[in-house]
Amino acid sequence: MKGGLTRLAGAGAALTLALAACGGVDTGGSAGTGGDSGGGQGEQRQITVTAFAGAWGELFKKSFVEPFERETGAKVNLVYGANAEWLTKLRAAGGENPPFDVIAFTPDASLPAASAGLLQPIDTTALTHWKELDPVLSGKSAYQGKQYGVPLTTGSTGLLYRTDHVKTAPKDWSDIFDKKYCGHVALPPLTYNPGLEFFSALVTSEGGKLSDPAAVDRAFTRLETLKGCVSAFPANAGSAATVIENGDAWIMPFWDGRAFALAEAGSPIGFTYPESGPVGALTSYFVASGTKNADLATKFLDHLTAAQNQKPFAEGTWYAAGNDSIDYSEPFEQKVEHGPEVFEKFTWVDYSVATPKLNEWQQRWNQIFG
Amino acid sequence: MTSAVPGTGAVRRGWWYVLPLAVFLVALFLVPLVRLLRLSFSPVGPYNAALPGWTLSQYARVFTEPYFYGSLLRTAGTALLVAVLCVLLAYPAAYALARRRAGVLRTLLFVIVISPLLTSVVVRTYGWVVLLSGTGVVNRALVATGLRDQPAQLLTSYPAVVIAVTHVLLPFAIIPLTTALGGLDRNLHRASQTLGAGPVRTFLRVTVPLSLPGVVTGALIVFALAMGIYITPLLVGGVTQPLTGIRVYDQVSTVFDYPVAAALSFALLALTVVSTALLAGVFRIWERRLHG
Repeated sequence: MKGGLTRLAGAGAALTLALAACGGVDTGGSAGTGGDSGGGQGEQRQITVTAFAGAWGELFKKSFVEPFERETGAKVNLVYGANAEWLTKLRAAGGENPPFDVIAFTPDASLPAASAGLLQPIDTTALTHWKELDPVLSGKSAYQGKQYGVPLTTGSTGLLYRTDHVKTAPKDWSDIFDKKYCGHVALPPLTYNPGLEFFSALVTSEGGKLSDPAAVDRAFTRLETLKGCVSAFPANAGSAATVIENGDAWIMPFWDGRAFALAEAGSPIGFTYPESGPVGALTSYFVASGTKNADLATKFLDHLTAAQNQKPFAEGTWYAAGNDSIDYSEPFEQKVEHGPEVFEKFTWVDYSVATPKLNEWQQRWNQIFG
Repeated sequence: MTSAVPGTGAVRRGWWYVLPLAVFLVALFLVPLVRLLRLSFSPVGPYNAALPGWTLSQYARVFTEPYFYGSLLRTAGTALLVAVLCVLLAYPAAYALARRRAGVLRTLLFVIVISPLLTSVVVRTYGWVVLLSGTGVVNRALVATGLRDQPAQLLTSYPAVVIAVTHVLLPFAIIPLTTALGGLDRNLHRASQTLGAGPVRTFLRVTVPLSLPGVVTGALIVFALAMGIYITPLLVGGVTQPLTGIRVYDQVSTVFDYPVAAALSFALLALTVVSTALLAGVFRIWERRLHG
């Protein structure tokens, strides 16, 4: 019997290892499809570009990739995914033979990438539309005096709410603390962008800065008043949409574009740009260090920043574009706040402060809500 | 040249058969594991980028910050709880399967038992989300029957995580238990009853001790898998659940601090190996006491 026990236990351990290694039980895993970015004379030029997976990526393909391929004859290998896996692969490449030529990043990922030399500065004189781009948004992809990226679109983090339960539209961030919403608030954690953006708004709306520990303490004290009132902690866009649509939550800090898209799809969703200032949630495009296709990558950025290309993408995603010269459609103008005056009032998360502090802050956040 | 000892050459040649697998495992499992181990000793610079050099500071963080070591303790406790629940739930099902004669119904039951393994973990987990959400089946029933005025917050809770993880891992306890119970000699039961023992005493004194290898295997497999599980707790319980798999995911995907994620992964691996060895030791002592 002892032999049987040993044999069974050994077989079990082997099975466990095999299953864990194969991902049969509960492992993630992603299938990156880095394209062949080489190409000599006489061959079709190729470029590898990243895009966020889902409807965003599909619209990106239609708005930018397909017209670019038609105009230049080059082939664009589109890699769908998200910040984390692209940064991981760029770090693994170490600035040589990168798996992507042109990369989409939000500032939380672009600053680590630029500071590590994984992105290359761009020559803004080579971009036809550079002067049409919003200076505030462009400035967010500059690092140590060099320009690394171009703004594609920016979301505004404000208050998304259910119009059937919230009869009077909220006006400012403080409204989420109203006791009448207790038990129906969705609060993304600090490790998910809208959560950190909301926390940053709490700090700055009272005149503080993320770098000031006393201001951070005040924001946490404020958050403590939400204890027992939060019904969901969505940590990705899918679960955020789910908790609002199925009625688990009535109010939540989130992005304007997602709110307007849900409302367009027929959900009873409204959105408020807080009076004390929404928080910017920017997506920019960058060129990888070590790419052999820097010329084609720059051409793609030029194509990406053209007003006629950004317009359908912005209107499809309900996010304001980086190019300030776009003449938007009436429905877009009525809903989405945009333009230099709006962007000037944005609050921005200071990732140089937030990134090293994120674990500590999330730990404090967990002590309140965990 | 042939071997002087019959069979020795064949045995020697037999090693070549495992060479492709060995190369595969070394290249795709051991090498990345060693690189990950090296990464766990790297210092970090601005924006948590890994730097050249060696440091123990990542391990120091893992074992001194409650955010990390608290998650290791909670993960071990959760894995133990899930292992116990899985064995308790699996035993009756395995017993019923093992006692049934081979046939269509037994095959059908077996397929039902292992069907969760044939479904994507994401689909299975979203099934729980559909059941437990604010407008899910459970909450609708609670409100419709008047047991609650408002839907209960079933998702994003620790009990929901334990329930969902137990469901996902249950087949891993049922399969070895069914094998162990199916291999029992029925004459032993008859002998026990002939000698005057009733069904309960026969079950406790004969069936349970003899099925112990299946219990041990099932519990150890479930425990080891539950230590590293993260997608199910993430989808059902949310990112706030203090489990190490979710903490590692967070460090990689949002904090971009790979060295501390690597150190936390190896701390989890060490804890899994040590806990599994301890559990196996406890089971062995139990088995010795039962069998004298």
